Amino acid sequence: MDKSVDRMESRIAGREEHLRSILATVPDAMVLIDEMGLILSFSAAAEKMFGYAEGEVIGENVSMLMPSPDREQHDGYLKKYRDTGVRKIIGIGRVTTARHRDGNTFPIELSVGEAWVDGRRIFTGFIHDLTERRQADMRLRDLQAELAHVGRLSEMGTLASSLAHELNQPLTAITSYCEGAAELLEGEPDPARLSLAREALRDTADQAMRAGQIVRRMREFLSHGDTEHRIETLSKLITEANALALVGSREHGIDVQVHIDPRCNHVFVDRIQIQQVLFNLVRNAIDAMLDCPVRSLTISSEPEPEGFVTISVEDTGTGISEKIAPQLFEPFVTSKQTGMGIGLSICRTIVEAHGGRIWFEAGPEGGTTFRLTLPKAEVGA
Amino acid sequence: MVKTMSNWKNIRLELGSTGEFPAGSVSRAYLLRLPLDDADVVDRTAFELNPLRATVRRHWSTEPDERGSIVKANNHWSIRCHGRDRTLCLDLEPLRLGARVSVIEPDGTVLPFKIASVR
Repeated sequence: MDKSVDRMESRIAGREEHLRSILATVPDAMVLIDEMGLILSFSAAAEKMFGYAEGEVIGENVSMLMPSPDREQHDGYLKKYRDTGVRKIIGIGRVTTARHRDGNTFPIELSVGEAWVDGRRIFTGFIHDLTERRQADMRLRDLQAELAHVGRLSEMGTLASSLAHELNQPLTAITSYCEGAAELLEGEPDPARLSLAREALRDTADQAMRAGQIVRRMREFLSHGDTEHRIETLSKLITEANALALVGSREHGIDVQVHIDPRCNHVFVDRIQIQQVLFNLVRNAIDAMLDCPVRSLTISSEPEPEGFVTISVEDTGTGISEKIAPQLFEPFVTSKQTGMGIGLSICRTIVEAHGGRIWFEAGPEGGTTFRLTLPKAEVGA
Repeated sequence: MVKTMSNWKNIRLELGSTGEFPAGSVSRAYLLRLPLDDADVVDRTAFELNPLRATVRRHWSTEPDERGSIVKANNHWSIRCHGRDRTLCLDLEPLRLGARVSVIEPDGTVLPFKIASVR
């Protein structure tokens, strides 16, 4: 009997050791927390990824590994899950941002599992540092967006030629009908001439309508695309876009702050397009700060104007030169050594297609704030 | 001699032992950006040349992040975040790994900190 127990204990110990050796070599960090969010275990990879020793963080709230606004809200997320059992991340995973001991943030992919051990609920977080993998992905995405936009500009050039040709016909007709009507109305009133003048004016109206139809067709063509407008959570859009845009900037020590007004956390947008806009704005802000001593980036939102949400991306960078400021949102305008200068042009096209607008303001002590408005979505209680 | 900007450092202070946290707390920290001279003391000349560069971030477990500036006022250093001033007792001690620094809260509470990193 004793031998049997010994064998079993030995087998369990062997398995434990095996498991421990696997966990020690997995590059993803593993953090175990209790249901209140307190850290129970912190793997070797987590120590390396976050810069803390396990002994320093045991018993601490896991929110210490997150930047704002997740940090303040994490206890609330856990409570909501305990109260409702509704899974927002467990078994789903998400791309978000983590914070190293040195204060810098970096993009991660977080997967969370849940288990019950000795009647206690625990959560296991597996954290994959996306810094390197995302660099390549994002460059590819950048290039795809640029190419798509160039393609669209080219289409627009072709379209503009055919539009000019098509519009020329009704406009020429309108001109000649109006001139004819004016001639017919000269001199003494004559019922026959008045009748002809009325006819000419009716033809003028018909041609004007035709011109209008041509313009409408063009607008339909330009707005055609695979867009999908849905109610989206703004904080999630910003967190994801921000995480991706911060790829590769960890070594630059950018201080990032996100302040989302809870009164306007839902917008009616195409998620991919708006993330592209936010990504472009954050990347531009980072690029503008690389040579600056203070590198602070603040993303915030406010429920203004009525029916819209205003999102601000504020940096402490070099600012926009007066030379390019007036054409900043025009394609092929850039102050960068590399880049085609179409990022902000894409942003404007996307924002305006959502019924919003985008503009920028110079900061009082340097730096730039880009603001954009997006349609607010009302979500029932 | 004109000093270069290379002596500006990021100094991380972590809360030391207090009644509430006898073992200290790594999740309660200040990140100071200050110029240090060759003796690891705050380089006042470099500071006065670029006072706006002296910034601070406050990462306090379960409280929103704060950031602000480090200012020199009335012969002491002050951390100014969100309109509140806390006194930073830097004195003339070298700011090296493991050194002790105190911060006096607006209510007069003195909190001990330990320098966890200087980069």
